[in-house]
Parts: sequence; structure tokens; C-alpha cells
Amino acid sequence: MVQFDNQYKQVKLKIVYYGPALGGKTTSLQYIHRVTDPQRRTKLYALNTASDRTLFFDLLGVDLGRIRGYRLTLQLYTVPGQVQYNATRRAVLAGADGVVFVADSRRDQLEANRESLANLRENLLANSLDLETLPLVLQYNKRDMPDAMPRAELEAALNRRGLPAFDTVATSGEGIIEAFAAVTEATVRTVAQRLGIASQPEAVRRLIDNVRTAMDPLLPRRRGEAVEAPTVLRPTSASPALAGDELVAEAVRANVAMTDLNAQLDRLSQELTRRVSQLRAIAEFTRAVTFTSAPEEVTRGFLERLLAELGAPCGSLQLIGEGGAPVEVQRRGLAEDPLLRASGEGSPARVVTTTRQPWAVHLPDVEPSQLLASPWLEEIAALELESALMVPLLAHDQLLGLATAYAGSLRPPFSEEELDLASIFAGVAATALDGARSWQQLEDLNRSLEQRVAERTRELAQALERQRALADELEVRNAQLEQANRQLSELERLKSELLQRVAHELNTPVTSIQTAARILSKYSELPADKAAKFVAIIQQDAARLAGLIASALEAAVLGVAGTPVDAGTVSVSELFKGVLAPFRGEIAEKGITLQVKVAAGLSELRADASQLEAALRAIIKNAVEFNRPNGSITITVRPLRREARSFVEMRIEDSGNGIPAGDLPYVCDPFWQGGNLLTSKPRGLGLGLAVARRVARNHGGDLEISSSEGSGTTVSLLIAAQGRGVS
Amino acid sequence: MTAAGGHEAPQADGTLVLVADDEPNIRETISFILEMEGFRVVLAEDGVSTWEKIVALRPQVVLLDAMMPRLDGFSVCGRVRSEPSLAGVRIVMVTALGQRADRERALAAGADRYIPKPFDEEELLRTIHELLDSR
Repeated sequence: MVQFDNQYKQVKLKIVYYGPALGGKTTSLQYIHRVTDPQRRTKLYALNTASDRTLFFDLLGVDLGRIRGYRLTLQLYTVPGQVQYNATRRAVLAGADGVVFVADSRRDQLEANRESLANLRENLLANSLDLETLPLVLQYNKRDMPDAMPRAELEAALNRRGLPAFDTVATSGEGIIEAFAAVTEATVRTVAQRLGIASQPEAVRRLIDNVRTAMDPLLPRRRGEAVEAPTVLRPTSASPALAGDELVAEAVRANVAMTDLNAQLDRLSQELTRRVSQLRAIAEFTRAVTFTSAPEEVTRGFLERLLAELGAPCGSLQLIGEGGAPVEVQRRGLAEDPLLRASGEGSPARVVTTTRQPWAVHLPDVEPSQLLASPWLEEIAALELESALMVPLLAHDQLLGLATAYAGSLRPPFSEEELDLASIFAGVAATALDGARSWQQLEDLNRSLEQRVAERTRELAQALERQRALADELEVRNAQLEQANRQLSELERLKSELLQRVAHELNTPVTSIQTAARILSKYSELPADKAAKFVAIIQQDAARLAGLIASALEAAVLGVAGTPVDAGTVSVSELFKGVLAPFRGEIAEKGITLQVKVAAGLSELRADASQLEAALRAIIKNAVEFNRPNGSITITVRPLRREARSFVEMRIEDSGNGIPAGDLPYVCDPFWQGGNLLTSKPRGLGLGLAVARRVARNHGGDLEISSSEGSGTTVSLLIAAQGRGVS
Repeated sequence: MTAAGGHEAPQADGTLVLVADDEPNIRETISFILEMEGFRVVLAEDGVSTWEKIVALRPQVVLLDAMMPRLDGFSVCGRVRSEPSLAGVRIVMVTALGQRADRERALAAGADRYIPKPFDEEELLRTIHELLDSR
């Protein structure tokens, strides 16, 4: 009965070698065991009697390869031929999928062959099996014996149905494999029929091809070599000869199970060994790449290890950059990678990228229609490759790359566990790659950060420098502004004072005149002397007002730039005589010493006489008014050369109060007067020096004033020299 | 003597008025008018002598010019107001500076009245009489 083993994806077919005692069943099995690939078969288990006769059965597992993802395994049993072991035979036959009847060709065994065949039919029926439908093949064994019956006789006696029959010599192996192949093929065909794939003749044909391919290499090999001794298992129950039939059957079943377990154990042990070596490889690879900071070291090592572990001759690694675009491909043993190149809908790369699951294919298992529909599979076939797998390189759910591996027909298809192994390798590589990249990014970031810090520091320093310069400039501007403000408010104050002085100078005589006039009109009977006095007051202050108005007009006239100079010849002595005349009385009164010094030969000037008189009068008025009692006034007239130009200097020095240094810049401004507004009492509008400077400039010269407070003032009136006597 | 011009002058009763001004013509004309109205008049020609005469004579009214040598009129006014024994002295400040600010300055210094120059004598007399009446 077909057994499906889903855990190991195995299909087990049970084939029983049946026949009379000592017919060559065990020897046949031993031959098959000897010639099959040790990788593809189990040990030969035997339960023997002391006399080297089969007690229960022999068991041999043969691996036929994979069909539709399932490993097809044959389990070959023999039965004891002796008549008394019928219960054992019946138990062994249970679940048989095919039978090889090994007949003894010797004539004296004909009856035993017949009996055994009848016994087979009986025992099959007991197991609900039908000899007519069960795949059955005959071996006419011991053909080398001298008393072997002719084949035709044997056929007539034992094979009326015309089943496949083979002439065999079990001791030399002749015909054994042919018989084995025939029963296997028939069994597989029957099983396929039962599994419902008979309607797909192509699939059945491929199944049979697989069986033939598995058998093929066995046929010509090592015929006649020494038979390997079977592994002897100890019976687990008492001698069946002494036990009842049922007890024997139970023991057989237990022993069948045990040998089955033994085979599984064997397989598990092999698998464990393989797993351990895989784990070791994974550990080594992990150790090698985990703390690598160079991504290329990881990728290079990964592909080599992966292919070595899978025993795959070729494969590729494709790295995927940001946004899913492939950035780099490494290949071993391939010029082009069909799986990586294919990118359409349903392509492996698309499937793996989407599902993040490994993918594998074994071309012989693929339906031809599917093969035609998938160009990449055709390409793989064209490269004479049979198996292919693809695994994703995943780190933190991010797809870093895809790896492929290919194998030809020399090795079995990639198994589930190899697919797992490749996935683990890919995972380790991806994690290491991610780590290495992060490390590199960190280093890059560090470098660029340092660079940026340096740049920013430089920029900041420049900005600071600019700001400092701006602040300096601002400070200078501020100081200038402050200075200008101070000057402005000082000017404002001066202007206000000037207005007050002018108001005072005009209002005071007006008040006197008004009051005196009121008195005269109000008190008509004033004594004559009183009336005369008020009239005098009126006259006096009217004259004072007239003088103020005259000087204001004079200043107004002269104050206009470019006032025409009415130049004429002016006698220096006449000029000063006229200018000084009004001050003679006051000079004498104050006891001032007056000196006039005129340079020799400078008797006449070329100038506007009236302008010059006004200017000198203003200067001398100040010199007299602000002088101290018994002071001095010195007037010097002399030629002067300055900057290649000739001038006449009229210098008036006094020994008066002097002008405070702070006032010097303003003394020539119109209406300017020194001293405290409320308590000092200079007469006039403060226009004198302004007029003098205007006059000097009208004459191509200037007014220069120097003074030290307390010791006197020197005023120089310069005019361009044009007069006679000036060389 | 009586005031002319229809103006009924109140009795001056020989009230003492100090006329402080550095302008001799102003002193002369004002003192004449005041005397004609029946006031007794004393004169001062600078700030210092004004202060001395106020302290010595305690006039009922002072006609105080703002601009005077040695000590200006505002300062004199301030001194009078800071001396409690002179509380009865009435001060009329007279200035020729022609600034609106002078009025505030005079009142702030403690002056009772302020008259800008030029003024007419009737305005002066009316101011003095008002001051005396309010006493």
C-alpha cells in the first residue's frame, strides 16, 4: 500500500520478493543492495535464523528520486519460504504494492513453486489483495543450474497470464536488476493509476522515465562481486516456531515497524550531521562578516560561501539600492543570470521581492506548458542547469538584495532545508551589510559634519567680524550724530538767546519813549525842566533805535554775498581818524592807551571807504567796550604775504576780557553776543563782527580773530593789496 | 495830584514801591508816574542792590526787571520767595525779552504779576492797584 509521509515528503512503495524456500530471494535483494548507490539506499536489514535462512524478511530501501516534490522510495522485502512460516509471510505481504515471484528453475522444485504461488494468492486474499491486479513479475532463478527446466516449460507451468518473467542467476546478479526495474515500473504505473494521474499520460511517462533513469546506472555494474554481509537484527520475540500464528504476526509487524524506524534513524542521523555542518558554516560566516565595516567584504564573502554550502557551481548576488533599483551584480560561473534578468509579472525576482520568501525550481518537475510560458526557465534549461533558487537579503524588513544559485543534473534538486540554509545565509549577510552600510554612513556623516562645523565656524567668524565693523561704524556715526545734535541744540539755544537780545535791545528804548511820551501828554502842567528831561529821554532813545536800525540795515546790505565794492583810493590816516573819532571820549574816559602803527610807505589803500569804515568801527567798538580801565588798544597796518598773495593787514589788539575759546567760532555770526544773557549788558544787535568779516571777504580777504580769555583779543582785517605803496 | 485820562486812581497812601531796572530812562519815567500817583518810590539799578533794598526797606511792591547786571530779576524773585519774613512783598516782573516762556518763568520764580515791555503806564498802575487790593 502506498504510504505518504508528509513530514519527509516521501512516497513509499512496498515490493515483496516471494517464492519457495531457498529460491534466491535474499540473494536477489543482496545483489540489488550491493549495486545501488549507497547515497540512495538504506542498509540491508535481515532477520536470520542461525542456519542463514531468512527467518522473517529482508528489507532494503531504494530511493528513486523526486516526483512532484515527493521522494519516491521503494521498500523491498523478502519472506521466509519455509512452509511453517506462513503467518510471517502473510504479515510481510500486508500493504504490498508489487510482488516479485522468485521461482526455483530446478525441476525438482516445480511443485514447491506451484505451492508457493498458490500460497501467495491465498495470503494476498487474506490481505485483501488480488493476485490478478497486483503488479507481479517472475524471476526464473538458478538458470545456471544443470537441472534447470526450460523456460517454456516454466512459463507453461507458472505464467499462464504471460506476466513479465526474467531468467536470473541471483548469485551473479544476472537479470536481477531487469526484474527489479520491471516490477518497479509496473508498481509505479499502478500507483499512478490509483493516485489519479493516469489520465495524464505525459506525467505517467515522466514518472516511468524517472524510474528507468534510476535503474539505468545499475544494470551493467560490478556484476559478480562479493555480496555485502547484511546487518543482522536480533529478533524481538521468542522463536516463532514455538509461538502461535497470531503471536508471530504481531512480532513481524513490530519488527517491520522497528526496521522502518531504524531506517528513519539512519536518515535522521545523516541529516543531523549535515545540519550540524551547515550550522557550523553559518556560524563561521556570521563571525566573519558581522563586525565588518566594508560592505564589499560582506557581499564577496557571502556569494562564495552560499555557493560552496549549496554545492552549486554558479549563482549571482544583486544588491538593491534605495527605491528598489538594482545597483550591483556579482556573478560566479555565469555571464548572465536568467532569474535576475527576468523582471516581468510572475518573474522570480518580482515574486521574491513581493513575498520576501525564498523561491526554488527544479526543471524536470515543471510542466512543459509552464516551461514554455516562462522564458527564464527556458534559459536555465539552455544553460544545462536543472535546479535554481533565489533568496532575498532582508534586514529590518528592508530588501537589500537577491541571491541566486544554480545546479545541474549532477546533484539532486535544492531541498527545503537547503532553501532554509540559503535564507539564513542571506539574512546574516543582509544584517551584516546593513550594519556595514550604517557604519559607513555614520563615518560619512561624521566627516561631512566636521566639514560643515568648520565651514559654519568660518562663516560665523566672518559674520562676527562684519558685525563688529558695523558696530564700530555705528558707534562713529552715533558719536557724529550726537555731536550734530549737541551742535543743533546749542544753535537752537543761541538762536533763542539772539532773539531775546534783539527783543530786549528794541523793546527797552521803545518802552522809555512810550512812557516819556505818555507823561508829557498826561501831565500837561509839568515844570519846564521836567518836561525837557522827558523830551531828552525820547530823543536819546529814538537815536538809539535809529542807530540799531541803521546797523541792521548796514548788515543786511553787506550781508548779501558779492556786494559790489565801490573801490577808491583811501588814505590810511584819514580812514583811522574818521573811524576813531566817535570813540575818543570813551577811550579817554577809560584811560585807554591807543597806538596806531602804519608800515612805512603804506599811506593809501585801494578799497571801498564806507565798507572799510563800518568794519573797522565795529572792531574798534568791541576793543573799547570790552577793554579794562587803563588798558591798551594797538592798531597795526602792514603788508602781508600769504600763500603767494599780497594782503594789507589791519590788526587791532586790545587788552580786554578776551573771548572764551568756546565762543570763538560764533563771534562772527550775526546777532551773536557773548556773556550771560540776563546779567551782561552789551549794547547793540551783535552784528559788528559779522559785518567786518563780510567787508573783508568783499575785498578778497578775511577776518581772523585770536583771543585768550582775560588777556585780550586780536582781530586782523585782511584785504587784498591793490593800493600804492604795497609791493 | 490826581490821575488824568478819566481814570479814577485809588489812594496810594504813600505805599512804598521799589523800581529795579538798569535802564536809567525807564527808572526815570516810571518813578515819575508812580510818584504822581501818590506812591513813594525807591530805585535800584542792579540785582544785588535790589535784593539789599528789599531786605532793608521791605517795599509793598517791587517792579522787577528780568535783565540786570550782577544778579538777574528771576534770581532776586527766587530769593525773596525763599525768605518767609518777606512774604508780604508783592513782585511784578517786567521783561523786554519778548518770549512767551518768560511769563511762566517769572510766575514759577514766585512773581505775583508779569508785564512784558513795552507796556503802557495805565496797565502798570492797574496791576499795582489790583495787587494792593488783593492784600
